[in-house]
Amino acid sequence: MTQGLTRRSFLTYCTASAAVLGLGPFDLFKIRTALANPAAPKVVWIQGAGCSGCSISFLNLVSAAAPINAAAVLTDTIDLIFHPTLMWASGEQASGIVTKTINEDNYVLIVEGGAPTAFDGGACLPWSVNGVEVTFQQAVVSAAARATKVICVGTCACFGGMSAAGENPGGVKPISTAIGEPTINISGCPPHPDAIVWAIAQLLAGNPIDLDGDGRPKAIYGKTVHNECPRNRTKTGKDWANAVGVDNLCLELLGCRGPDTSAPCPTWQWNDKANWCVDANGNCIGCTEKTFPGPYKFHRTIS
Amino acid sequence: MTLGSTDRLQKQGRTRWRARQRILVLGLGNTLFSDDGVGVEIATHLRKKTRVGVFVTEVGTSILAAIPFLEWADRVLIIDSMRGGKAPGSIYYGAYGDVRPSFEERSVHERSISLAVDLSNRRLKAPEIHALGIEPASLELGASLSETLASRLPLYLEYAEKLIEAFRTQPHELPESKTRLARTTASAANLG
Amino acid sequence: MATTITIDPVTRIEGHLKVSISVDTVNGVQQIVDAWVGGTLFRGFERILLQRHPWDAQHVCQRICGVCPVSQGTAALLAMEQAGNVQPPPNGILLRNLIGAANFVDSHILSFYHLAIPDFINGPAMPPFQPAWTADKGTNKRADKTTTDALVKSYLAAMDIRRKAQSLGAIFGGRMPHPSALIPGGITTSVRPDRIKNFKQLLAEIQTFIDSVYLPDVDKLGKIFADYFDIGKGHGHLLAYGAFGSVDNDFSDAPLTPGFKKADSNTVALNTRAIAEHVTYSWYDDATQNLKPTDGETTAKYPKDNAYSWLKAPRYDGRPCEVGPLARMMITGDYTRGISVMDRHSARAQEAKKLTNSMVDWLAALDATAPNYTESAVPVSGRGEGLTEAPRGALGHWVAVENTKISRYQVVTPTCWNASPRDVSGLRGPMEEALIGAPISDMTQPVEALRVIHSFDPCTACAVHVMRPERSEAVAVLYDAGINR
Repeated sequence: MTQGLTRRSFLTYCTASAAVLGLGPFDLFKIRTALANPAAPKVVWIQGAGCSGCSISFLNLVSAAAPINAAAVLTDTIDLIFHPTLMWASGEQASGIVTKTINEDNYVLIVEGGAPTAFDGGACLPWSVNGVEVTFQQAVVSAAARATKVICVGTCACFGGMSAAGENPGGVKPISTAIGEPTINISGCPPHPDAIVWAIAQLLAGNPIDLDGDGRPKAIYGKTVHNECPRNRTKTGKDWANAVGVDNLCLELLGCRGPDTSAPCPTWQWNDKANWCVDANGNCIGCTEKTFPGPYKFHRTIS
Repeated sequence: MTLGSTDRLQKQGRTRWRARQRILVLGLGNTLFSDDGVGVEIATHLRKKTRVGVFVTEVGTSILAAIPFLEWADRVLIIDSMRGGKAPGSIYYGAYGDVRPSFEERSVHERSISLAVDLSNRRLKAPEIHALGIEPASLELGASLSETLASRLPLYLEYAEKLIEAFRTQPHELPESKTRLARTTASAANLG
Repeated sequence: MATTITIDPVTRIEGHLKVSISVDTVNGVQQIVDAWVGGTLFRGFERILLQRHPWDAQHVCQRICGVCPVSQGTAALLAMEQAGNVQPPPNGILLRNLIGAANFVDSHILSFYHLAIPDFINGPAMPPFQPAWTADKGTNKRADKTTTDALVKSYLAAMDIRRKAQSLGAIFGGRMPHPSALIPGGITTSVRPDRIKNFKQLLAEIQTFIDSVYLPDVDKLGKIFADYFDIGKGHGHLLAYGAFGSVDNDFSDAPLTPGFKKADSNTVALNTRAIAEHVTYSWYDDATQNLKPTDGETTAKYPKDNAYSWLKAPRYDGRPCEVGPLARMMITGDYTRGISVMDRHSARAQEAKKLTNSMVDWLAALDATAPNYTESAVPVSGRGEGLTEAPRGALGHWVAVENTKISRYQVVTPTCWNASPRDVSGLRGPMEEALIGAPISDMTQPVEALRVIHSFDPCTACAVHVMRPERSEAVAVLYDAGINR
């Protein structure tokens, strides 16, 4: 690959996956127009209190049609102008980029991780500008101000998640609370890469996204894991699993949170269909939910 | 001791710091009462080695004599005998702000340090004061340290050296009054 | 006259890190004369874990880090299994090793190509590859156009290979990141023929990439940047807890063995009682200075005079220790060349290869008919220590259970070792020390400092610490004459 790579349109991917992505012909035209426009929104991805699992999951994207993977997304599809883990820029050059973009350009904001408020925001200092440290609390509010849309990626950003669990020593808050605006919530711990890219595709097409009561796209989070699960007893007629490590039986008695969890995992599966949580005989722990992780135990045991 | 041309102020994140720290080491104590004077003894030994930016003095019990030094310093290390509840000869360390109440109970000299700070120009922003304390074995009348402490003198010097070195290499926030003073008296070329 | 430069943010790491360096000309060479490395994120996982059911720990702890979740989950399992006195069956251990080693491989590839390579070459003319620092890169002194293009191609290919290594981990883990199959007593996933087949296939692809692309690229870089075999050594003390042993914590057949290697000395056996954490320069209460992890507790204190990091400063026998692939490979004796920026990249690549070979063996040893899991009761009370290796180095979890709830948790992560601030005696942390002496050609783009930092592969989300609510003594005891003779 040399410098001066040209951008191809998102179109092939969208055409091939239109049914899955829920895009019609008019949407495809809008995406083409959006991408051909030099003023197409850039993507700014910032990280608060989290573990970067969402970024790792995003990098796991794989598809039959273009963009076939994360490398293709970066080189052919979007202008990822700021991402702390991936960007080649460093130091004030990097913080200068995000400052300029959020003040001058047209951009979509993606936020990974929650907003820590402990120690007056000092629990998370993502960068410095002109030698002055900026708290993530300040950063996310400024970044959200002019964003075309704000997408929360991962349960921590959407709802506080693991970073805000228990006594929440970091004072972590969901991004929508921190900025005082509703956000598009692609929840999951981590969220599925297809879900992240789907949301970007919708925004580039200028499609409104139909959200549920928790701000999550109904197209993705409209069904529960339990209802779609192949182990569902109404489908198999079999009994529940009463021991750990048993294939093909419903894990509800062992504590599986599938009935209370809205996520596409049984159909989409994970990691290029290598496996998914329940097929590995692991309980669904409800990681897309607002209540995740909750104080309740993940495994139902004798004690 | 005025600001020299080598004292450049730099901005580093939220803090402004000096390229070379001004460290004051104060040995306190009364050498007439055995281990009460351990601070003086340690300071006397420390003085033998010259360190740039470090001023060591044994003020003994004449605490108020430390006032001009307190006005100069960025960081102060007080070395004194201190009761901490551990075996005689033990070494304690605390930041002055944290140890102040307990320090004042344990060392008669400490009360005066607060007074000295208050009387100096540093009321608004005192220098960082740290304390290295040695648990005394004996406070009886006597011109020399007890064997328990005398035998550990090299160890105390080692800890004091390490702390001084740590202070020298760590940037910290400058007091506001000093900054203003710096601006009016030093040439602009030397300031960040 | 020394000038201070601050790099904030340090990009291309996991988490949040800020580095300040003091640069001066010494013997005619402009170089780093002092350094401060600060972790800038605090979450406090112990509080999050407190009062949770013991079998929740591995799920919660995976979220300490999305790049090395398997290691974090494994350490939690080891600690909880010790607390509950349960031993997984051989198949369970093998499966854990397979899932864990897959995570190492995907993490190492990500670390070299996506986090470190950008310090050495100029990327394509589009974000996120540009803008970027250009100092000491490019055709005049360093990589020519052909080499640069080849490395960019490798970078893009590597993105997909690491994705496959993640799929490899998911085959028995359930999902990556944050696999569901980890449970005290073993692994929940069953060993099915289709899973074995998929695993072999993916592993072969990954091995081919490592042999034909990754290792040669590291060699190539090492020739163009040969000076980096003499930059970034640091103190030279190395530490490893070991990992991927078989049952009974027997490391005799493990690819990663425990040990401590003092600078310029031979490797000796590990003594975990020699580990203590300092908080002098960390945003935690000074009273919790110098405590062993089993007694460890901290109270966050921010702001605090002198402190500049949310990381504590772990020390082994008072010594700052480097952990990670280089430490492990030198402790096992697999790598002997030396300690430097380039040595770290070489050792990391060689370790990736080594672990793929181990995975072949483990896969062959799996018994599809044997159990993967030992039934056990949830501990009502107990204490446990879980020592293992994460891709970045030695990782320890310490847990206490009371009334069937987690009552205490402590984590000492590899990046806490590597990116630690100074301790009470002012000894710099490994990364800080490694920065000393690195030349800086362009003060506005200190890329040389980044090369040192990225060679350690920092992951600062792992800088989580324990909190306790009760008041502590304000004065720290540096030396107790009663104990020390």
